[in-house]
Amino acid sequence: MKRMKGLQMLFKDAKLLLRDTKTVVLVVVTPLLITLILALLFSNLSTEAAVGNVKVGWCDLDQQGFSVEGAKLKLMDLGKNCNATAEQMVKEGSVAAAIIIPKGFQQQISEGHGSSLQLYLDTTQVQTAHGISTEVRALVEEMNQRIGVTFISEAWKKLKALNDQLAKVTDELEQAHQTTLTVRNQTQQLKDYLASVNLTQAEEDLATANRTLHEIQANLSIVQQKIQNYQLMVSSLLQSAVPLLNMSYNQSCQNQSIGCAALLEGITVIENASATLNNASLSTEVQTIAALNTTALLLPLNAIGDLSTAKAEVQENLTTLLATIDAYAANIDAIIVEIQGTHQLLEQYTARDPQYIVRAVSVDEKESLEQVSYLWIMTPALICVVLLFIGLFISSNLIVQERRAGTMLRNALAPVSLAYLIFMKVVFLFVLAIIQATLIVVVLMLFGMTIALNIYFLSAIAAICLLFMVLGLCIGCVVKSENSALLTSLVLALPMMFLSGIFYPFEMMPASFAWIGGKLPLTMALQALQKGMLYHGEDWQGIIVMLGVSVMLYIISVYLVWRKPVE
Amino acid sequence: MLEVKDLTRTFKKFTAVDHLSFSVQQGEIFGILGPNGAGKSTLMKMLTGFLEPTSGTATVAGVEIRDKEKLKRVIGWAPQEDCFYGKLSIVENLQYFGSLYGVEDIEKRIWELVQALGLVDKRNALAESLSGGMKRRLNIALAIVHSPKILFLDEPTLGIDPISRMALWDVIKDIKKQKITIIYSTHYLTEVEQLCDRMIILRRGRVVKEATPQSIKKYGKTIEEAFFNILKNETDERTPDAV
Repeated sequence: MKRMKGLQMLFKDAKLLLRDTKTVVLVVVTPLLITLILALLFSNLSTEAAVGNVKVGWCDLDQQGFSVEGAKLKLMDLGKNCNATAEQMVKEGSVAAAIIIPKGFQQQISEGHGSSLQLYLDTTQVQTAHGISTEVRALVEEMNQRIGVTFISEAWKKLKALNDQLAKVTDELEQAHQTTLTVRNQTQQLKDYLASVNLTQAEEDLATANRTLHEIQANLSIVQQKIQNYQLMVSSLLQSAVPLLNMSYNQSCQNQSIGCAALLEGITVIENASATLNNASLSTEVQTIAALNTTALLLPLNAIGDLSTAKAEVQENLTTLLATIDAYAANIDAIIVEIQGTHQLLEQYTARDPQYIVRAVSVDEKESLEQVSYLWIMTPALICVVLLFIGLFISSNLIVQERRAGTMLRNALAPVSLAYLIFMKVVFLFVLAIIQATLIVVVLMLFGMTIALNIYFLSAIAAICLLFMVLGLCIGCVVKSENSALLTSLVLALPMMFLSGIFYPFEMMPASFAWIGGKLPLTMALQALQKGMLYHGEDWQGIIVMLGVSVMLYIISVYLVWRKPVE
Repeated sequence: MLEVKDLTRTFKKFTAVDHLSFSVQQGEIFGILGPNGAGKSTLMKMLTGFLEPTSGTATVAGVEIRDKEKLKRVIGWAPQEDCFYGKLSIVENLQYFGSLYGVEDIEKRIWELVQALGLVDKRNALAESLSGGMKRRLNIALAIVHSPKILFLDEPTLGIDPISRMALWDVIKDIKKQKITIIYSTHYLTEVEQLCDRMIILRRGRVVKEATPQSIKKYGKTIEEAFFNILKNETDERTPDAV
């Protein structure tokens, strides 16, 4: 019986709806029309294209032919001395933005002082302002990169030349190192040779010579004695011979014969020999030899002593020299290593592409939703907003009409519980909302949107329809007239729309607003749909929360009608 | 059929109905009169279960007014406003509300009603297209579609032309013939004279006179004058002829 009553209620509401042209339009035509308009709008909406279409003033005060090639901006030349004009035009909204190139712009850049462009933005055009700012920043970044790359490339060239010089220095140092090693070897050889020189032997030899000399001296004394004897003998002999010869001469050589000349010569020789012999002092020479024993032989001994001292000093000096040479070689080694390190470092540095030094980090954007239209991104919001507005208007008006017409009162007089009565209203409104949702989805599919009609999506849509319809029902139970219902619906729906994250992300909102926004029915609905459609996930918890809120609103509605079934 | 005992309803400090007591017999048409703010509507709402009394009791056809579910089955209420769906025809309205009451053989009942209330010709017309008088008749038809034991009529002739009003009187008289008790709230004293068996006059939530239409005529040359005089010499004492 109760089921029959329910069906009667549904049929009655269906008849009422179908006989009310305005409501039919609201239920069927409005969602179709709104979805169609928004779908057409969003399917061709592109921030990039929009930025390319807006007029941007170009004020070049530098007049050095600077240009922003490749900029996706519709530039409008503002002529010379346009600084004030540009600002004014932006303030008046004649151009969406103005780029000002200051005087000396190029020169300052070339001199390495840096410069800055001025960008006036019409911030009232939020979307395009952001797009233009991004475009200009991208251009400036590209410009900075180009300047940086040029500068570093030049520096790299110079460093590479320097590096080549360093390579040569390394070669030379290596040669010096080799030379040092040679010197060291030679020094070492010298040292070794010096060490091999045996002065002790020389000293012993000299001593032996000394002894030999003494023996000679002794022998010489004997010889001297003998010589003196012989000398005396010869002298006497000569002294005897000369008078004889003279006499012979005098006697025989009056007539100057040839033999006399030879005799005379012989006498002379004998006289000379005698004189020589007399003059000769063998002992003196022997004494000289003896004297040599004490001087000539002591000198070399002393010299050898000095030589030993000198050798030790030289050896010490050579050791120091070797150490110095080693240190020198080691230093050369270290310098070579240092230079090689520097060389490698320079090679390493100069091998780096200046482009990646200036822009070491680049952003490789991977879009979570590749090649999707703006319409697709907006689809969940579109469905939710259309359902919200139409749902609120229809359901709130339906209840207000029932209450104002007194039919709610008459229904309340019948032996049907208010809870059941309201429940059947919810069922009817839910069916209406589902029809609207179907129409919206069909329109979106006609625009090429591939909506997966899976269990999650259908459940989310059902929960959303229920939530918005019960919310409208609740409004209808509070207000007194259709106009009030309409206004209240708007007053609730508009802030919900702005706080739902459709237009502004929660992160941009003050914390309290973001918190409120996150709890609103539209936000719940939007997040549930986005989860399924955009993120290919499921948010069953969100759906359960929506159902919970719907039940709560239903209970409130029943209470409100029970309290005041008629206006 | 209706027993009211010390029925009181206050709204904060304002007492709309103040210890009312009266009774109505089966088949009677019982008028409730009084100036605006006398407490007529509050009394009607309490007797039809829409408003909880602050104190006192009332039984309607043996059902205590606080037992709302049972009360709904024994009462019919035709408010002064048209309480039906304008986009449904007379028959559809009757079908719908009849089904809510679980009326058996609803088609027969509807035919009886449209005949009795003179709505046969317009039975398939949308309710919103009916004349004022017909709308009131439909309003009453809807109130009695489930054959209640007591019918509350709240100024049923308000705003309709005299001919329609007189036609409606006939309808009410016919309902009375069906032994349905009628509680009739009105400002029109002529109606009371024409229709009511008995009546009470309310002022500031209290009964100032309980009488028959004939018996109050002694307070004035006409019933209007009598009514005026009664209210002028306001007293809550019931005169012997009232009982």
